Amino acid sequence: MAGRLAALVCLLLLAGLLAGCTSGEKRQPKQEVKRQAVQEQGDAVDAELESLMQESSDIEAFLNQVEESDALELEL
Amino acid sequence: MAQEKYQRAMQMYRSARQEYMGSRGMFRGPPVDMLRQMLLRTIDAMLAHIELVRARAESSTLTVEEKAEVYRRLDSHAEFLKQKRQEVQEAETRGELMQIAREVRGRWSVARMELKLAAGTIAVSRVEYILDRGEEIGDRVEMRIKALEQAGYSTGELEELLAQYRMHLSAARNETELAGQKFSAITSPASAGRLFREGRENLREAQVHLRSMFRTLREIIERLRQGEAEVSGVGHLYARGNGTVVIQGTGGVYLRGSGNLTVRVERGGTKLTGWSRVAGNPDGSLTYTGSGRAKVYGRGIYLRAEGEGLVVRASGRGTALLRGDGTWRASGTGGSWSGEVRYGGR
Repeated sequence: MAGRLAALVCLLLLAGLLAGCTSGEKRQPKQEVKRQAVQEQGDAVDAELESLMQESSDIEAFLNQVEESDALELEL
Repeated sequence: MAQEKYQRAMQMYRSARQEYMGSRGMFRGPPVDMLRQMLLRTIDAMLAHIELVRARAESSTLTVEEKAEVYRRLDSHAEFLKQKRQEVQEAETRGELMQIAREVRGRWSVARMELKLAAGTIAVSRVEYILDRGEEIGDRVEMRIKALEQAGYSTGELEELLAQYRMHLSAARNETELAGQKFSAITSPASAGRLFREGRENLREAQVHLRSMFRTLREIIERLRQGEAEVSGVGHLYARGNGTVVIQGTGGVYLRGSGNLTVRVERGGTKLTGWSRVAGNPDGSLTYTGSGRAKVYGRGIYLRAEGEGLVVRASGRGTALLRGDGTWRASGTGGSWSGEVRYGGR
């Protein structure tokens, strides 16, 4: 009787341990998903920021070229 | 394409000019063919300049009418120069070539003025576009900060950084406006150079503020990431499409689009830009029509939008009912508009 009880306790402990491991496994991807979501939000702004910064430099380069038109001379 | 053509044309112009100047000391002056080459290369460089600005106008954010006006002005100069190019090829004497050179020089001083006016207008319109995008990013970031605040995170520093960001944005806008005034005052070849330089100076100042804005924004994003990784229950939803969106949650919601928008928030605030008509509802919500942007933050947010071109970014936690034609993304997953989507923790 006592042996059966001990076996049952062991079984319950094992089941609890396994459940703990499994829930741990489940938690891990959730955290990963959250990190990924946070990263995605950041990346969306980063990418937008990069393109805006690039555009702002392009404007500067374009105006420099237009100013070069002053260098075109026809003094013959 | 126009860029490469322009650089090639300028390179050929410079070497033709160098060769021509080097031969000016010759006994009878430069040979006629050298003069012809010099003229052809100069006209080609002028045409490449016009094409460069025209191409920029095409891909710019100018309105259809503004673009048409730029094309009308530039195309008439291009036509004139092409005709003169033909005449240069057919000319037989030095005298004929000198006469064409005088005509081209006179026309170019007007064309150069109009190139500056057009280029300035295009540049201002591009910077304004960047500033509009920057303003929108600021609004979205503000809603993410509000969501963090609702989750109990201390957002004092983030708010301070956002205020700095907006201060630079406003300063950049002022400088851009001044640049626009200078460029639009270009009406004569005599003042074109000075006004263009002054306008450029204003735009350079605007660029300085833009760079500070971008630097501050990077810092804000970095801190937002840290905050969002630390607190629990803050998620994000991004949805874009046509149809109906109903959001109920806590945190912050940013929306832009056109149609009907109904908003109610229990504890928090709303800020709307651009919507036209307002009507009160028995449940205390307000319905707006037209188009524009909306920021809603706090606890107990209810937002319903029905219309087109809807872009929604919600931060915090809540549910979104999405019906119509569109896509959504939340927490590493996504799909089309066909039902309820949950974001953030419960």
